[in-house]
Amino acid sequence: MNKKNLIDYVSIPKKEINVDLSQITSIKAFLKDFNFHTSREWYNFTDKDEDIEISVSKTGIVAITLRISPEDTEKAIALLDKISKKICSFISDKDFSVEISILEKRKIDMKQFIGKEIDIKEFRSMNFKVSPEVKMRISSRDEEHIISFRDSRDSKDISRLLNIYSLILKGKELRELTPIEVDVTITKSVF
Amino acid sequence: MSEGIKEIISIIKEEYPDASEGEIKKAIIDFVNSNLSKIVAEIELPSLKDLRISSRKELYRQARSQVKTEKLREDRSKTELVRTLTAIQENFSDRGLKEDANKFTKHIKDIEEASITKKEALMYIDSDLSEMIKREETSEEDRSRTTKKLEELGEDANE
Repeated sequence: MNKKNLIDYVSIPKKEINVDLSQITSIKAFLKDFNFHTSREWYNFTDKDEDIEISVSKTGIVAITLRISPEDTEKAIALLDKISKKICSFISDKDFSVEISILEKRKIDMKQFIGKEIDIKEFRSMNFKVSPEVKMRISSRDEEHIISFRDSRDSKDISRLLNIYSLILKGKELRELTPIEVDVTITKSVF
Repeated sequence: MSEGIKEIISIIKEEYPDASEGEIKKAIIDFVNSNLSKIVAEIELPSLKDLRISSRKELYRQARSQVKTEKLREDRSKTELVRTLTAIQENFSDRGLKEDANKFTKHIKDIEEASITKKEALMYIDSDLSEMIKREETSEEDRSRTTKKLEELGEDANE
């Protein structure tokens, strides 16, 4: 059985919005092949196979959950970015901050990533500040990891985050990913 | 007499115009009686094994739906989340799905000990439930299916 990665892509409006029904109608037209149902606070769109779930809150949060083969993850994130921006454009022309979490089933060499001088056995999760606007967190469970990015800007370009993500998978070290002028802060959550 | 049966009789009547309605009905009953096992086989009723798989898959899907609701509700307290997960764990246990129930016991422990965030715990749970659902699928899924759907949406997003 092929294990799938899980991606949560969440766009949060910087100012709360009241989503009205005409906006949902536009989103329904865009997601025409999706099943639609509402819950108390959310409008939910699910594809037939339940691999893609898109939820829009009445306050303008757009949350997409995707289940995808590990090999297709990078490509999928780029597509999710485009799709999410399109859905957000139906709701508001204001800024959204973005949170992307990837449950990665492929092997990641954390020791290689953070440097051999830190004993990773002490860590269950670590926080990094990889640029002034982008925070990254990596948590682990057995051989699996969740890599989360939080971009406080409405990132116009997903390629920087994708680049960091790809380099982690390729076994690069943290210091290779980070521009020299940016401080790297690592905080740790102990078991 | 239902419309469907009336239609069947009228079709047969076209082929056998001299036959009375009573004769046609009798011929249908005789045919069904003598070919019942063959008819049942052709209808391809699900086997007991298939029904059990389908029921388990539905159970996992319902659990994933509950987890999805928890993911979307940031205002939920740890106690409320643990209550939901415990109900799922007990349901699995009651149905003899011991291994799956044990996974939930571990997830609940993680949340109670706050060793990872609620959001991360829910991602791991969602992933575990997705694997349980996948385990029950009879045919190998086409890997490109999801990417293809995303690409189509991506193209629509350009418009």
